Order: sequence, then structure tokens, then C-alpha cells
Amino acid sequence: MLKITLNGDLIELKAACSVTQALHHWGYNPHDIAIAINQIFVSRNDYATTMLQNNDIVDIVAPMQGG
Amino acid sequence: MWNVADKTLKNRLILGTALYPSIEIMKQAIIAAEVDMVTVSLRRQKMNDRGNNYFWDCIKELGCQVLPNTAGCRTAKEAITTALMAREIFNTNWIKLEVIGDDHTLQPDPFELVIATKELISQGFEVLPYCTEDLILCQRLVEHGCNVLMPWGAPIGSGQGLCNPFALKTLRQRFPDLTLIIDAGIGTPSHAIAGIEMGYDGIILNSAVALADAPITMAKAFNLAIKAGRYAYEAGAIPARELAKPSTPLLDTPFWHQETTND
Repeated sequence: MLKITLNGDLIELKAACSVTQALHHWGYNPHDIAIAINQIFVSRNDYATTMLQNNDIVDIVAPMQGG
Repeated sequence: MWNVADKTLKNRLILGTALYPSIEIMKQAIIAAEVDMVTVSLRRQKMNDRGNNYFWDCIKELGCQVLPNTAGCRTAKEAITTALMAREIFNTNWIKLEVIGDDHTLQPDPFELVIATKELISQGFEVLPYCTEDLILCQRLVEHGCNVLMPWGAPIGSGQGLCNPFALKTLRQRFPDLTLIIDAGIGTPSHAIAGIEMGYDGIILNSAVALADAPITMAKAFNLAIKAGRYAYEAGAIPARELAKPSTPLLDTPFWHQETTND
């Protein structure tokens, strides 16, 4: 069981998984978002090989209005 | 047409996309302003919003070039990470680099800004820094490779116009060939005109249009004002004088140099 902070909310993952698997589980389209884990950017090219760790802090962002 | 780094834009106005009463009004304001570049941002994607981003669909439909910002960042590290995420999502190496140092004025943190600028340029970004009008800070940013500087006119959203015209003029004089854009603080079209007449290459604004009573009409007003200001700059204004100078030639007007007699 992994405890992950996703966009500020504490959630649990039943098993260790890659970013690709986690995004699929959470229902995100990887082409519309970008990710930082523990405030470090993770490129789309690295999703498959990046494994989430217990207590990771994951930020998933998308385009939004801005000035 | 004007050049900003490696891009050519038609309009010297760059419009923000936030704070409009609705996405539809934002779209109409962008069309009314005739801008070809808009600023955008990144925010956490809520679980229940995933796969549904009407805003982004609208921007893509309008076909504008986008200038992502790092709004909300308070350290160089946050800004660098945000810029990297923006590059991947928006598929552009341009970044409107904002590193805020004070919550009340939203004044840029010059020290963190320079650190972030140096790192992002080393990673291939075209950094457009939101900065103060401080000459030495601007010199440092240029030394690190900035092709564009974006000093504030006044605090973001304040609508106060150009609070320090002396320093803004000094920047224009000290960087005659650099692209200079006034970013933030503009409240009215006359503020924008003042900046453009001063020789600034462009204006970025958001609140002045989005929060106007009639945003679409205000977008048109800014579009026209900035075009007028640029014409005025290119035409060359007359120097201000202390005393009057008649506009109508006096030579050979009736009674010219005629002695009056009281016989």
C-alpha cells in the first residue's frame, strides 16, 4: 500500500506502480497534463519507467486561464 | 508586424486570459482585441475535471500563440519546475517568468528571478521575465541571455498605469535594441498609449480588459489605442515647450507691424 499526496489530497494506491499505470488508474489523459513528483518535473517520456514511491507528492497540472 | 525573439506578431497587445466573466466573453475579447498571442497558465487538474478543459479547447480553436506563465511561484525552484511542465503541455520553449517576492504588491523577487532565468536559458528556454524597472536587475537578466524584458508598469491588477516613467524611459534608453514590453499595472488605454509612445514595443495586460464593465468593448479600445500609440511613436512627437508658439503664420496677417495711431 502506497500513500500518495495527489494535488494536495492524500490517497492510497494498492500496489507499487509506474506513473503511466497511476495516470491510467486515476483516469488522466497523459497528453493533456504535466507532472511533478516532489516538486521535480517528470517528462512524459519517463512516465513508464518512473515508479511512484510511498509518501510521494504528485502534482498534476493542466492548462488554465492566466494573465 | 513586430519581432519578439524568434516570433513575428501582428499586434503589440498581448492579452491575458484570466478573470473574464465567462469563457465566451474571453473568446470574444480576444477576437475583438485582434491579438495573436495570449498568456496562459497551469493549475492542478482536479480529479473530477480530468479530460474536460473547455478553456484550453477554446484557445486552441482561436489559433493564438500562447505564452505560458509561472504565476504563483515564489522560488526559482518552483518557477523552473513550472516552466518545464509548461513547455511539455504547451509545446513551446517560451516562458513568461514570474517569481513573486511580496504578496501585497506581487512585486517580482529579483534574486530568485535571476537564478531561474539563468537555469531556464541554459535549458533552452526563451525567457520573458516579469521584472521591476530596476536597471541593474535588467542588466543582469540581459547578461544571462534574455532577449526580452517585461518590467511592470504598476502592481498586477492595480490599474495605476506607469508609476515610474523616469525609470521606464531610462530602460528604453539603455536598451535601445532590446524588445521591451510593459507587463502589469495598466488600467486604461491611455496608460498603454503612454508606454508605447515612450518606445516600448508591446503591452501585456489582463485585468484592465477582463474586469472592465464591458470587456469586449475595452478589448477593442486597447487594440486601437496601442495601434495609435505606435503610429505616434513612429511619427515622432514634438518636444514639449514652456511657452506658446503660434500655429498660424503671423507674417502678412492684417495690421502686421502696423503702428496704431490715435489722431
